[in-house]
Amino acid sequence: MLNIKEIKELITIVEKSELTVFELTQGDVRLVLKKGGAVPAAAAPVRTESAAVMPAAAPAASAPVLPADDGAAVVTSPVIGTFYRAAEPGAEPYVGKGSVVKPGDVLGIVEVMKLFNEVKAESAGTIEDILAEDGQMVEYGQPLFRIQKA
Amino acid sequence: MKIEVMDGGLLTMLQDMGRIGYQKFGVLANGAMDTFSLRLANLLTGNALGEAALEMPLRGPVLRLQAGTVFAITGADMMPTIDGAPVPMFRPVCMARDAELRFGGCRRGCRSYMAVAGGFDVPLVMGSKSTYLRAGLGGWQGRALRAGDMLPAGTMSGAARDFARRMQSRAGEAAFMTVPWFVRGGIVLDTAPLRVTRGLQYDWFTTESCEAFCREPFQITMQSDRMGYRLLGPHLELKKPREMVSEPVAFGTVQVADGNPILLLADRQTTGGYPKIFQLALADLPRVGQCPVGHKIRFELISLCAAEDIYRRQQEYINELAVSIRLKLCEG
Repeated sequence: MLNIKEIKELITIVEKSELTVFELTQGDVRLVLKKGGAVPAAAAPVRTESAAVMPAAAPAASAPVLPADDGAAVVTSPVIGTFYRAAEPGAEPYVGKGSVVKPGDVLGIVEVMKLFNEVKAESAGTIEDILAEDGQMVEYGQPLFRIQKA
Repeated sequence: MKIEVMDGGLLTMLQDMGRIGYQKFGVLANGAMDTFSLRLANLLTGNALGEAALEMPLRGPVLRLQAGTVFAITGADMMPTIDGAPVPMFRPVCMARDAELRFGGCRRGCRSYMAVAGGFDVPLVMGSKSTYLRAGLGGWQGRALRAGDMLPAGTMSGAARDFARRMQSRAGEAAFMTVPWFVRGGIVLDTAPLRVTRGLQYDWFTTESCEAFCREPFQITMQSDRMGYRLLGPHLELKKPREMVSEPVAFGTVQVADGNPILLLADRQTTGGYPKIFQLALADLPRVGQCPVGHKIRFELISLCAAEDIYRRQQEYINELAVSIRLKLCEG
């Protein structure tokens, strides 16, 4: 029987591979992992060090900022995992509402498999809203911050 | 790849997991004071867990690194910089060009560790690359680093080579490149007590002494080094005067001489003739390695079973990290 850790590990492996479907049967447990078909599987994956991108699943993934209509940018989670607002428990949060940020600033971190992945601002502006709670499980691509662009 | 030492720092030495198996001949075990940080640094650079790394107490060195060198810094925060830019800790870093890595004073903890991908290419002496300072053997010529030394790095693992190639393909203006992920392994000098189990002669001490040990704080005195920390706190009394024949001691053994405890560390002697009141839990030894002189520590008595349990959890954590880091190094 797979435990949650092994499943998370498998997701990461599949996410980073060229596979679009992965199926595993163990006893009476069946696990199917699929990546959506918005981009042909053959498309060259965009790999940046700043995000564990899943090209087949989300075409916008190479830039984890979804343009919003009102001059705001939404920063999304680069991975599935646990979201934290500070580098370590008890430390000052990286940013709060009203914080002024510039591209490259770390806004928060997402923990997956004991590694902490930085969520960075891609545009300059002011943090308008923080869309996830500290310690919350977040999905890949889930909006985390709203930045009012400068 | 070579690492040129411009300034040796206070007492920068190569240490690994220790020289195991020669204590019966009176050879000290040595090894890193904080083996947790040592192992993290090795994992982050794609090395075998127990490869030798630089142990840098209190004031670090200035090192000239060559382009393509991959390294990681863990343990105490000594504010490392390259060309004035802060070098992030707890993550792999790749040099884009030749430049100097400088360490400042110690901000938190007291020992930084720096591993280089491929390890250090120095001979194994009795199975270890640890520096045995008093005997002048092992490590880099049996001594601490000094200006002018040229340390040869070994051959990088496949994962580290992949990583270096990928990082170098993105080299920009900066002298070094790093990744947007890190491991958490900072030593927090909190007030959480260090956990101990009963020592071999625990029963020789008065109940009051045993209780005081786990209740009152002890200060690490100036008479402390890698061999042991002399602690200042409540006087520990034997129920009655007793003599004993010397017997083996271990990393983390608390022996009591004239009523004062000495916590034996990496460069401990091989045997001791003082009664041993407590033994530090294996998993907490790395925390002790980060306690500076003057720091006050507290102890908590736990069962051997509990000590095994926290040790096992620490090992599991390291094993899990090994898997995650390998994935990241190989694939981004």
